[in-house]
Amino acid sequence: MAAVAATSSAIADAALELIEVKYEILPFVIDVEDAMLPGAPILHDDLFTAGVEPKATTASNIAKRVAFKLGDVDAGFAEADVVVEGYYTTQAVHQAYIEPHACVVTVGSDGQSLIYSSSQGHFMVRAYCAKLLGMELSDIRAMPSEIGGGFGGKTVVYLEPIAMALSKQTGRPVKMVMTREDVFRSTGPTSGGTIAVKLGAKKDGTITAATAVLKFQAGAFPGSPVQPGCMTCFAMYDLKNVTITGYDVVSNRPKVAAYRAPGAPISTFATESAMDELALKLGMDPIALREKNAAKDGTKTAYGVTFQNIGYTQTLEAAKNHPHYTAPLGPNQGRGVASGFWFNIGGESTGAVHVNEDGSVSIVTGSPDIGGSRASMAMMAAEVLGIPVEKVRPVIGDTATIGFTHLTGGSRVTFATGMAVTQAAERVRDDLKKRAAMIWEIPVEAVDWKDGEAVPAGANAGGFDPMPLAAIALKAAKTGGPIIAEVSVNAQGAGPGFATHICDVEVDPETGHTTVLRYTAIQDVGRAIHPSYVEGQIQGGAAQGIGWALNEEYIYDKQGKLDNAGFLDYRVPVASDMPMIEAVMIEVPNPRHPFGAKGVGEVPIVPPMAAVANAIRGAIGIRMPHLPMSPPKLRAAMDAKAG
Amino acid sequence: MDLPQIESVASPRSRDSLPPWRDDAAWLAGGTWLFSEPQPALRSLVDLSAMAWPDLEPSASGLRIAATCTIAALEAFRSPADWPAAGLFGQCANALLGSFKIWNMATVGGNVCLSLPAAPMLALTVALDGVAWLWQPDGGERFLPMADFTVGPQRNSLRPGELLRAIDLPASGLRRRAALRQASLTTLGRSAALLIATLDESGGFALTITASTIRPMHLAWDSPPSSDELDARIQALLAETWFDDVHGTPAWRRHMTRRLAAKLHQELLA
Ligand SMILES: Cc1cc2nc3c(=O)[nH]c(=O)nc-3n(C[C@H](O)[C@H](O)[C@H](O)COP(=O)(O)OP(=O)(O)OC[C@H]3O[C@@H](n4cnc5c(N)ncnc54)[C@H](O)[C@@H]3O)c2cc1C
Repeated sequence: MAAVAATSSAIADAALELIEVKYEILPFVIDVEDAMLPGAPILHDDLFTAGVEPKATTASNIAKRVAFKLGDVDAGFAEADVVVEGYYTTQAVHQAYIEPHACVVTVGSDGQSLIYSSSQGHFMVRAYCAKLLGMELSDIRAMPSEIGGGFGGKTVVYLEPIAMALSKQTGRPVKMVMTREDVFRSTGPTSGGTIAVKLGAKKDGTITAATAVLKFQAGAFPGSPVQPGCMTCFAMYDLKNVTITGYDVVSNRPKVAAYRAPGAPISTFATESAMDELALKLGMDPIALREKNAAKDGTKTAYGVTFQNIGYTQTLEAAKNHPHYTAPLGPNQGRGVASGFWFNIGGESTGAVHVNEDGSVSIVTGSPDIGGSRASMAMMAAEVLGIPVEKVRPVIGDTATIGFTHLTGGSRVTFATGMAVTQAAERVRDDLKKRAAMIWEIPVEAVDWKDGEAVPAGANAGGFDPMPLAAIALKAAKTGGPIIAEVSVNAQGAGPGFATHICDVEVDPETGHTTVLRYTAIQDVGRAIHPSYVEGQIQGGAAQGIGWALNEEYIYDKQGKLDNAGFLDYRVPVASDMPMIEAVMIEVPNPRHPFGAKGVGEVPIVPPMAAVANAIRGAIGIRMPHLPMSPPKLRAAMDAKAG
Repeated sequence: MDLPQIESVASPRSRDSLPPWRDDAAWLAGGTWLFSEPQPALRSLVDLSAMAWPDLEPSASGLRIAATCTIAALEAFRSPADWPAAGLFGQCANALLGSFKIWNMATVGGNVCLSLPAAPMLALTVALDGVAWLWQPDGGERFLPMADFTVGPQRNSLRPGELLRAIDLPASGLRRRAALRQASLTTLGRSAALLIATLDESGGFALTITASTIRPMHLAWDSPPSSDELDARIQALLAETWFDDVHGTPAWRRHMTRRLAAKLHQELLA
């Protein structure tokens, strides 16, 4: 690898041209199934398949095999009256964040480094840079810049360590900015993959057995999201007999990165398309089939967890009763339903609450805000303190000013960081009560906190006028100094997310073009702390899923070179492609969070591809198992059907 | 984007002051393509904007469109009533997938000289029997029918150092009835098929196929063909004629071409 720094990009470009690179053109493999074939070009001589017995002794492109099992699928299929099977493929797609990767890094003569970059976790940026450059964490201060979209793609570093190495050598600040083409060619999209699904059911719709085999592209190095793909694909259902097998496969593509609910949209496209086929074969309403088999509290998943406080059946109920579900359809129109699941995670977060001298409140967290989480933090703190939200100013602290906080990812921030902020606000509230007790010279137990004011707990506490937060803040110096609290948590008990989407499409039989006419996304959100932001998350996820379903894909030429590394040729949906996406929020509160929050940002991208495919099936009577369902593919399928 | 390796930019005001041609030079028109990707082979640019050629010169014999006329200026042109085909100007401008920022800079000359299959100005000028007026580097000039201008994707008949000065659209072409149809994979997507059909008073019918083919295909009949005849001519085009890129498979482009041609036929002859 070579990197060049110069005082202008023109000089750097000229210098780069002087570096002569000789490439040895090696055999390559792009397709995941091809990469698994015996005799495929092997990418790494030292890569042996993990997770197989006996232990692998020859190098392979299959980095890992994972398997999940419940019951006995052979017995389950033997019991089945009806069996459906399908083979589905999806293409690699990019997160398509509008802001490209960029950073400014300085390393001073004292060895202290400052990084300004936008990422989904500046503690992650600091950790990777320290590891790659052999520095101590405390010598690096990573500053979070405002982020212009990430969707999982900014949970890894690309530029920062290089800029840091260059700055170390030159003693000057180094700026690096990717072009859009760089973003497409050198950052991680999510995997494409193949999924073989088989479902067996009794005549009444009870699923007796289910199997899925997932093969996911990892890119040039191991690490596809095949494991979460396996874990999520049947998680909506209470299945007694199920096996799911996944393969993480390297090929000559960019190393994949996370993309909203990594792995789940890919595998769920297949399983929820298969559910639709099963409903058709049984002559059953697709929601009724899902209701019959729906996961409920107490359902044990194939990956071992037993669900509690989940709201899946509530989303199905709401879908069934939504006017959309029974609205009339016109010619060439079809309606599809699909559900989806995402775990949502917790983990390490820090939140600090500072009461300022004037009674305003500052909140500091370590979570970069990619979905409006600052507003939610302010609302939760304001709620605890009983003050107007306008009095609370949330900011993101850098790695030197706030305690360790894990990535903004896994739909964890409102849950985990929200928990830290809530607890910090509670400590501040307790402290405020203590200060009031001190001023009033009564025991702290005799003070209550109500609507942002300290009040005597009862008539026998004394006849004091309520003391507002601002008045207590003003006297902080006399009652023990600044009023602040910082809480770090390793939050457990994130509530899993379930969603059911209804999609109407119209397919133009002459062009093969699909128009999404109406879209309703119903989701258990736990408690919508900031409802319009939750709605935005649901709409954004659904829109990205629709793009994945209909248009988006990495296209390679015969030499294995990416052919569409730009937004003109890699077409994401634009506003005019979309109907208004109606978000229906179901609230089944998460008892493990002070306000009942569950993660909301990822599950909305899980059902759309199957919802659209099922709607297309309804419109033209053809199952489209291969993404994207672009006009040429639909036309070809219609021609094939016509013979 | 910056083109850091460019060492000189000339801004000639007249033909006399054009610098001697160099192989590492490019004519700079609106720059909307030149500045959109790295140009490692280029060292100098010759900016045509200072030539101050009049954008549009209507006359009894037709319309002269300067190579430097912007898409926006062409779109704004108010044509005489007896030039119904000028209605295509706005439609072709709209077929160039760009915002007003691109329209205000991109030129008709830049569009045809870039010679992308999806170049709407190629479709327009081929359909209306345009003739390219070319300046040669030795001071000479030549005229080339626009139907012969393009030979393939981003390949045309310009010889080294030749400059497109203008395109003349004959009044006979502008007086025709004309209709345009366009298809792309997505709404507001890059053209995967762009067809223009024209019909003159004596029944002469012509179909210009672009975007779906590697270069514009101009099919002409002295009298209106039947829809089957029209379709047969399209079906007879060689397999390698159909363009293949990320904006549509050849089979789909062919299908869309046949469909759009049938619609145009119906529209002009019904
Ligand atoms: C967002 C966007 C969308 C676009 N959509 C389309 C589209 O749909 N279809 C399409 O065809 N293009 C498209 N383009 C590409 C390009 O912008 C257009 O083709 C535009 O018309 C080029 O004109 P220009 O004046 O900017 O050319 P320039 O970029 O200045 O030049 C283009 C090429 O033509 C040469 N050239 C220019 N003028 C002359 C001349 N008088 N004589 C000889 N050679 C000359 C230049 O040397 C250069 O090689 C798009 C570009 C963008 C940025």
